[in-house]
Parts: sequence; structure tokens; C-alpha cells
Amino acid sequence: MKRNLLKFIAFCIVMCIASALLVGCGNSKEATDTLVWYMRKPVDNMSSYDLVLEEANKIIEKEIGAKLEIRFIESGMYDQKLNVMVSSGEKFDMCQLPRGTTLVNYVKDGAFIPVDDLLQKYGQDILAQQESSVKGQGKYNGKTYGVEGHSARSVSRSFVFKKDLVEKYGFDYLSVKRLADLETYLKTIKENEPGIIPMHHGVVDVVNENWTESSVKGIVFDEVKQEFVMKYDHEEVVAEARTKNDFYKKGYIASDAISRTDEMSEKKSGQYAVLGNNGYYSEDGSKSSSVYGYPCVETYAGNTRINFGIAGGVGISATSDKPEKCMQLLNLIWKDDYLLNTLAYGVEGVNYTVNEERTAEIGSKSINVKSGSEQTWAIWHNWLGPLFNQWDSSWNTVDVLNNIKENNENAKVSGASGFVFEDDALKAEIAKVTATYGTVSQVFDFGCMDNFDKYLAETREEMKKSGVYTIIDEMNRQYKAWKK
Amino acid sequence: MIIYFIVFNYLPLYGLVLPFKDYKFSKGFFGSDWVGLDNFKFLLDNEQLNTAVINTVLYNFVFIFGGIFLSVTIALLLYEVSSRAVKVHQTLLYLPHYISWVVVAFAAKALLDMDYGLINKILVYFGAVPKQWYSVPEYWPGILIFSALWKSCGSDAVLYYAALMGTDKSLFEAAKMDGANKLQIIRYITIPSIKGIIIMMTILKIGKIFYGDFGLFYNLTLNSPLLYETTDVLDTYVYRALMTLGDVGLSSAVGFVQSVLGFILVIVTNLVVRRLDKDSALF
Repeated sequence: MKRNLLKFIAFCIVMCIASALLVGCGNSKEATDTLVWYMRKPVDNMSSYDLVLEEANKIIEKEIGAKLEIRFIESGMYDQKLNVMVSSGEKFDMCQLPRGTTLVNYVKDGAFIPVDDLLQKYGQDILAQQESSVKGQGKYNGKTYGVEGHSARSVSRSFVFKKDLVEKYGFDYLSVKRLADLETYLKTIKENEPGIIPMHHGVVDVVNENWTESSVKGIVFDEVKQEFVMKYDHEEVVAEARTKNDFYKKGYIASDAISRTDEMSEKKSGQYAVLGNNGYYSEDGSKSSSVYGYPCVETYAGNTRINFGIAGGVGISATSDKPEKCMQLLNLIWKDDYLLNTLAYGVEGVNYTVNEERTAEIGSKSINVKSGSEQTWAIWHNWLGPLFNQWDSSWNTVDVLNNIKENNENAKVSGASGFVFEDDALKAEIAKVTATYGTVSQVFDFGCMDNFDKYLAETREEMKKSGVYTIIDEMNRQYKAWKK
Repeated sequence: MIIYFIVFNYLPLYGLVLPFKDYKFSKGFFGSDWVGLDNFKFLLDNEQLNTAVINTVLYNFVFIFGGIFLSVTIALLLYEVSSRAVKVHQTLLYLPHYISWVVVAFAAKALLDMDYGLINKILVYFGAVPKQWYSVPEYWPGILIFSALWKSCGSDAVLYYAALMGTDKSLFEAAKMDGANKLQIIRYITIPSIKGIIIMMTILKIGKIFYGDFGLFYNLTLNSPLLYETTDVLDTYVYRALMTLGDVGLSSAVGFVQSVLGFILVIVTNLVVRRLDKDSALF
């Protein structure tokens, strides 16, 4: 009898655990005037939470009569948890939106509300500051579903040279315009510097002005023809790969490039004479020097096109019962620098100190942010929205911010920016193409094939068999319809 | 025990509807739309996948039968050494079983690296040309089979050794009395006495013949695309094709086919075994 009872209890416990696992975590109680904002956890130690939120809420409560509560979710878990929250209909107000097709699926299911009207009504400060390439763009079915923040929209590319070698051989590095211009220098290095590999395999040519990657791997948008094409049908992609292959055969690229998988430690090793940069170009080479750890000089090689799909950023949940307050809060963050920087950096004295000297020097506020084990708070500015309203600090100096701003303004916008490909009916083909692309892409990127033309022909055949042209036809059809 | 099986093995079976659905998280398991066999289309008419499947089955075939041969041999050798020595051997043989493939991959890289690898250093020392291990697919069947057997045969051997310990000692003594030599004893006494467990292990492993060991094939090869010809197995292919797509329907369709084929193979193998020798069959 007793044993049976025990068994029954054990059974109940197991069932409870099982059902809890299936359903996900339960909801917690919310006060009526609290806005709940979900976002990824920026740094592990966020122990200043109470202090920072108290300081921020003083302003928020005064201005819009509500309180903010931020709930952090581990980065790796974020997408899954958001899925569970949305599918279980959990009540929350705002969250960081996913990108691309994931967001489209949410929007189709009505998980987030359109923000256009709210933006017009309460978000004038946001509209005034959003970048021109973003404002009013990225609509889905004519509506915007996210308040897109500032961001680095375009990556500047450059050729990076190891300074001591350039000086030793008196190479006029600034004259380099294309990958092919490197040849004489690479040859000199190959002949005279036995311990040095002439070129890192990750260097890319300046061709991406004319094509932009699409949401499907192996398909790119041809900016000249204004249509989607298979990547290895695009002349400039092929030409770049051909040059790389030529370099590879001549021994300018490491013969075992493909097994050198730890890119950063390779670049830091100092055994390459020419490398690619790491995100930002700096005229004096300071960015690359600090990233790679030895003196470098750089030659500017161009900017990537701005290309974003559906507008993301911060979304307002369909389960929120006070969307107006959400928009007011967002507007306040864009309007009030102190609030923004408090939410991002934390509280003065605890999380940062003001750098008086530099503040006087640059004419706007500059701070020293606590770092390492002393860092107990951080939210990245672009997660909140207005990255460019950031105070000068070690995170980003004013110069860096201006650089990003300038990049954004100078970069061309891709003809496919804002276009979202609906791929539901073509998943099998996309999976096949993705796999094929995964097989060949590195070989093209590093140029390490034996016979270029044979490999190219085989790749085209393989891509065709995988169904790439079926996808491209559908993409171009949707693109034309969207363009109208 | 029954409850355990119901909760953890039978209740989750409702997931079997997934391969036949266009699964959307927001609509849930039962709310998502039925799409019939659409998810399986991906598996048909797919040349790369065919290569991957052939690789998977061939490798597993070698792993299973090579593994049995090696581990039974080791078990027989263990049986011959003194009991104190067995302890040491057992531990050493079992050790590779606990080493993660990621760690093995780094150890392999230390051996096979182009510039710093031990093997290439030796080759250069003897005046040979260093080899690009991670670019030539022909080297890899050997390397993979060697590593897989190295990792698994020790632990299997311990299992067979345990089975050997359970056999009747008097049989061996009687055979010895009758003047049987070592080989005859192995042939007529030892092997037959552990035949049952060998067959059982084989049938169980055949059930997994369509599953490539992802850890082995992904890590050890550093996922080098130049090697796919001989190293791409079902699991690595599916990872490459579906990882970024994140489509639950397609991935579960693959898993579904894998397990159905495995199930059929187990039944067939068992049938064959039963035909040959009724007592050794699993069920």
C-alpha cells in the first residue's frame, strides 16, 4: 500500500517536471505601470541592476508616468526563449527583435504591432534622428514593425600591410587599388622573406560595390543589373577568385590555408605581409595595429553597400496593453542623452567617472567606464537605439562614432535593401544550395583549387542541380513585385 | 522503470508528427499545417546527400566489423594475461572512450599540421616531401577508421572480456586435457561462448548504421571542405544544409528516415540471424 502511494507520488512529480519542461517557464506578476523590456544579456556581471534602474526610473516616471523593468536573457538562449514567450502568449511590452525571415514569421503570426502611427504620434525625436537609409524603410506589407536604432550599416574594407616590411622594401602601398596590384610586392616578399607568408587568405578584393549578399547563401544581388544572380555567375566574383587562385598557385597564399581555421590568431601571429582589415578602416593604420598587435599601415579599399531586410531593432509586443507608453519611453531615450547613457553605462561613480580633461578637450562629455572585473553593468547603445548620442568613452570615441556616421552617409544603398524573400515553398532547394555553397565557398574564397576553370564549371553544374535557378527565378519575381 | 519509459521514451513520440508538418513555433505542434511528404523532397534527387549516405554506411560497416574483430582479439589477449596486469590494461584501453572528439581533433592537428605537425617533421627529416593532410581526401578513410577504432575498441573489448569471464572455466580445462592447442580453444570454445553477445552488439550497432558520428567527422577533419568527398556523412551534410535554415520539419524528416531505416535493418538482421541460429537472435 505504502509503496504504491510512493510510486504514485513519484509519478506525479515526474509528470509535473515533464509538463513544466514542455510548457516553458510560467509568467510572473506585473505591476500595472511597469514596462517589461526583454533583451540579451550584454555582459555576465550585471549586479548594478537595481542602482541603474532606480536612477533611470526617476526620469522615466517623471516624464511618462511608468516604470521600466529590463529582463535579461542569456544571448545563446534568446531566440528560443523569445519563441516560447511569443508562442505561449506571455504578456510583455518590448523586446529586441530578431532579423530577417525569423522576424517575418513573427510578424505574420501577429506577434508584434506595427509602429508607424505610434512613431508619428509619440516618436518625433526618433524620426528626427534615424539615419536616412533606414527611416521609412524595411516595411513588411507596407508597415514597420520595429524601431530601428543607429548602427554601422556599412563595413569599410582595406588592405593592411605589416609596416616593417613595407618600409624595408619601400613599397608604395597607397597605390594599391585592387588585389591584382599587390602582385609585385607579394613576389618580392616570397623571394626575400622565407619566414613570411606573402598574403593572408582572408584578404578580399574591392568588388563588393557591384554585388551584395542575399539572404540565401550562394545567391547575390547584382547592383548593376538590379537582379539576383548565382554568386559564381557574377563576373567580378569569379575574377577575384581567379586572381586568388593565381596567387595560391604562385605560393603567395599558405598552401594549407583551409586548415588554418583560427582566423584571429593567424592574423595576430605576424607571419603575413598583407592582410585584410577587421571591420573599420583607419587612415593611420591605428585600428589594425591595435587589433593585430604589431605596427600596420592600411590602404582604403571601399565600403560595402548598405543592405538591410525588414526593419528590426526594438519591437512592441502585441500582448502589451500600453503600446503608447512604450513608444513614449523609446522617444525619451532618443531625446534624453542622460537617460540613454545611464541605461547604457550605468551610474556615475559606480560604473564610470567623468574624464574632465578630455571633456574640455572635445567639447562634449567624456567618461572612463569601469572595465574587467569592476564592470557591473552595460547595455550597448545600439540595442537601446541612438548609438550616436553616446558619450565619448573607451567603448567608442567620438572619432570612431563620427567615422561610423560618415561611413553610413557615404556608403551606397543596395538596390535590394528592404526586400524580404519569402522562402516557404522552396525550403528543400535552399537547404541543398546552402550545403553546396558550404562545400565550395571556402575554396573560392582562398583560391585553393587545382584547376580553376574545371572547378568553376563543376560548381556551376552542382549549384544548378541543387536547384539554385529555381530559387533565383522566384526571388527575381518577388523582387519585381516588391519594387513596384 | 515502466513509468520512466512512458514519460521519457513514449510520451515524446508525439514529435513524430513533425516531419509531416510545416512547423511554426507560434502555431505549436498540433496547430502547424500538415504538408504531407513535402519535407522528404529534400532527401530525393540529391547527389551530395547520396555521397554522404554511402560514406556513412561504408564507414559504419568498417567500424562495426573492424571493431568486432579488433575488440574480440584484444579481449582474448586480455584473457591470457595475469589478473593484475588486466587492471592496468583495462584502464588504459577504456581511457580513449572518455576523450572528447574535440580534444582528439587537436591532438590529430598536432600530428598532421602542415608546418608544425609531428608527422610532417618526420617526413622532412627523412628527406620526404611534407604532405597536406587536410587537403587530400584520399588520406582520410584511413585516418578516420584508425581514430574511430582506437576510440571504441578498448571499451568494447572490456565488454567482451567481461563476457569471457562469465564462461565456464571447466570447458577450457577439458579442452586442454584433450590436447587442443591455443588456436583450437579459441576457435571451438572461446568464440562460441561469447557468440551471443557479439551478435547482440552487432545487431544494435547495425540499427545505427545511418547515423554518422558527428563529433568524429566534423571535428577531426576540421570540417575542411576539400575533404568532403570522403569525409562527408549524413549528419555533417544535414548540419551544413539545415543549420542556418533552422527548419524543424526538414531536420526531423531526416531523423525520421534515419530511424525508420535503422529499425528495418535491425529487424532484417535479426531475421537473418534467427534463420541461421535460432538461439542467438535478439528477439
